[in-house]
Amino acid sequence: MASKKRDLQSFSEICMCTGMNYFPDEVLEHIFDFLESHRDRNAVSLVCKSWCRVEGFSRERVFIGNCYAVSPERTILRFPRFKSLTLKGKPHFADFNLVPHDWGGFVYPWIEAMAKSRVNLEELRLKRMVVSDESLELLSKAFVNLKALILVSCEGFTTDGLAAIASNCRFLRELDLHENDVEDVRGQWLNCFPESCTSLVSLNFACLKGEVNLAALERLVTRCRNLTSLRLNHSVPIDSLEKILMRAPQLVDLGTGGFVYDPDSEMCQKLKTTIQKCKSIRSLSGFVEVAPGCLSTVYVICKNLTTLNLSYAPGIHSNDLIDIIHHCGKLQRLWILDCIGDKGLAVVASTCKELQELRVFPSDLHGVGDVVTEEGLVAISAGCPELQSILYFCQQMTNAALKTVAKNCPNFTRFRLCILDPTKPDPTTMDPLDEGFGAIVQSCKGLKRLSLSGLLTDKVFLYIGMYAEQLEMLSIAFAGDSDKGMMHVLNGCKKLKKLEIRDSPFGNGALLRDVGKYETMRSLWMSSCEVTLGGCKALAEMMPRLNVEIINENDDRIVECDQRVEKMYLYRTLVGPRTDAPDFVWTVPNDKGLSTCLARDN
Amino acid sequence: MEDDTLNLLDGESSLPAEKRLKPLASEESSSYPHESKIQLGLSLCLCTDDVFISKLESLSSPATVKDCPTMAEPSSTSSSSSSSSSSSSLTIKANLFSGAKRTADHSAFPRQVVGWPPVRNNRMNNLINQAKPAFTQEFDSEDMRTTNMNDVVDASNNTSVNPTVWNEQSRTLLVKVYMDGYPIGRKVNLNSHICYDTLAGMLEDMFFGSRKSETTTTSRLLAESSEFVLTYEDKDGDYMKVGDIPWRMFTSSVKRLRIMRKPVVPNGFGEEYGCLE
Repeated sequence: MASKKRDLQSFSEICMCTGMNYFPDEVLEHIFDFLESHRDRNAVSLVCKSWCRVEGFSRERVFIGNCYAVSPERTILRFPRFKSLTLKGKPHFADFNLVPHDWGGFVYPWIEAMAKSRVNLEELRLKRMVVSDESLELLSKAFVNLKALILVSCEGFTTDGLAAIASNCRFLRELDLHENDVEDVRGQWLNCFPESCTSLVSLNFACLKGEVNLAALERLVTRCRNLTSLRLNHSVPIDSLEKILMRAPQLVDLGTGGFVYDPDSEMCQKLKTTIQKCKSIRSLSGFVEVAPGCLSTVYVICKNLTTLNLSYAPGIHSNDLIDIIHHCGKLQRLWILDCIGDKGLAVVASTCKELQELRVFPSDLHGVGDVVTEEGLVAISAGCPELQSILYFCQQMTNAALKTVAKNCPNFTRFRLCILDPTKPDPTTMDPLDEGFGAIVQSCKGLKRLSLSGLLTDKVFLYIGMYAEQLEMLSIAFAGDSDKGMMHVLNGCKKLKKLEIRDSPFGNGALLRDVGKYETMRSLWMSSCEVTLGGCKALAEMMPRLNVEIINENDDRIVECDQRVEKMYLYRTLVGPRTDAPDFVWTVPNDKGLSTCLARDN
Repeated sequence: MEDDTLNLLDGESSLPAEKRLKPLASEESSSYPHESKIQLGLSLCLCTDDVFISKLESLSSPATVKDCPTMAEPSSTSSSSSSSSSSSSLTIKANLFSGAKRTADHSAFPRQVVGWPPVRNNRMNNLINQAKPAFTQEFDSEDMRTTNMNDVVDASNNTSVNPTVWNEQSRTLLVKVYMDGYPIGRKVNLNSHICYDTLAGMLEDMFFGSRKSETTTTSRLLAESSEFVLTYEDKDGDYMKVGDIPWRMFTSSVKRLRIMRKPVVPNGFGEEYGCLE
């Protein structure tokens, strides 16, 4: 891609010399068709007005990282012919209950606007947005060519909304519900797929809590011959799973739902035989409940697995986990619980030489029982040279271990470490983990995402500012000593897009140090820090193209300028303060005259 | 649901009820201003009702390394008087910032903090649904029932393993609550309550606004005279009136709460939904 950009730049220079009008728009469009990443397309559209116009017309996939940064109408004006829209709503910390329930992120206005303008929408991807049943119904009726609906961490809809999608979207290929909060109203939504529906390629309803009609599911699977990805929820029993696998041996991605049966029964043998026929399965997940001894049924397909997700199965003993890992020599992505232990991770390290992504989740949130420590991480780093992405919940970490990991794995693009006790120092030296994380950012020159934890001083931020040149997202919790920490980051990380900070002693000094920086970023979240109302006001007044939102959930108003602001979320925007904010969200006015220091008088 | 461990302080702690409750909503910050601030330091739970109080409210600024005296382990306090418990919890609160960061001893750090560890709800609920035998054994064997707040602190110092008494209690059990005529649902953490009264009180504040001015102890929701009735959906999908079965049985079978408007038609409805008391 870098070379393509260079080619385009030199091409544009030639054009400038020979005259842009020499090349008809169609030629430009054809060339731009080769550009897929929105960053490349964004770069192209900055070259000149003509290129901006042509690129705008030819862009088919639009990505909007913050739904409040721009309006639906403006989006449609700019990209009149888009077919795929990706929208993200709530701030990331909403995942951990730091954002109140009704904060916002409604998709309805987008769907309404697209319907009005007759956008030929084929694909809609939403993350952390509020999706109502009305939205889904309008979506299903307004866009006849809708092929894919992917909802990640969304909420606000029920199975009735899904029924509308199933009933009305005649060409639906992909319905992917990933970790949403869906209310089950027992409307038998799965039955709503008409008998004529044979187009499904991907169906994921693993997050649904209710039951589905099993007969309808089996019929659906039978008639959708192109189905390659199927993720069931916990309600689908083992015998249905067996029947489904019989009918769909072509599956590539399988989510099993529950996995409970008597290992001595004939079901066990039946299942083994059936699974053996599914030679295409490369990705396996589910196992929400697993009876002991049942996991061995899947060993036969493990040798070809590239993705394995056992992170929803806390009941599996570490020995069973180790057993299954022994069969998975080709694994590239593994999501697992920490009950696998350091010992188990050593087995992963020796078996899964092609591992690229590892996520180790806590099986007990208080660190009881089997946990992993720095040993497991070091073992993985030593054994898995392809490792690029890690999310690691652990009991403790040492600087020495982090330095070793940094040396072993310079290719990290995502490094997220979560020590269960968030201010824990290196237990061997009682030092902060500054040096360890410093080694990580210095070694991993392509690091794009970093989450810190453990005892950390301002020094780690100095390292981050100095070395993390490609860093785009940084998550900070319980870290730092003073404003200097945050200032190091803002000064240094030129490519920073998202910064989220909680429970750290950063205040107005850091916030106001480089206000222009925030227009180069998507958003900044600060909660339980030292920022005051006065600081937020000053910022809002200086930067009219930022929305500085204060979330105040208490009854008492924030009146005094030296009052601390508990939660602040600011983001760049082209469309000013949002009109759908609930009463606990207050957008600090940009106009000096309007700024009255009253948090609740919107 | 691990009944033995979930309601550790149920009726047996030496602390009065209001001190054992977690500061989850604004109701507590105003009804019990002093106690709620005491609570903040220790009784922080992973994910609470959707209204939080920051534990930083009472701290104006974190102490720096130089300012903060080395924080001794707060195990010296042995009485359960409010003054000593407040000092120990304030100590712990200060420890959250530079104090804790500097001392070698980290057992004083409260284990439960809002939104930490950063694990999403669906994962947390999945963990809660899976009973962990090892966990129960650890707690069953200890005599937790006479624990007061200071013992909580002591426990964390004495045990070599991390968990404190608060672990089990602060496990979340989130259920949705809907009220007739109110389109937006809320969520409550049932594990932050130990009886129907406190639950009803919280729901009242959520949906009806604060009732601090009233001196009545009976919850408006639970009273027969109320125009609403609090119901819940149980495991079988039936809607039952809240309050008829023991609290622990209720928490193990409830799936969802619903505040229903009582029908206006007077046709023996009162017989079906009798008074709670």
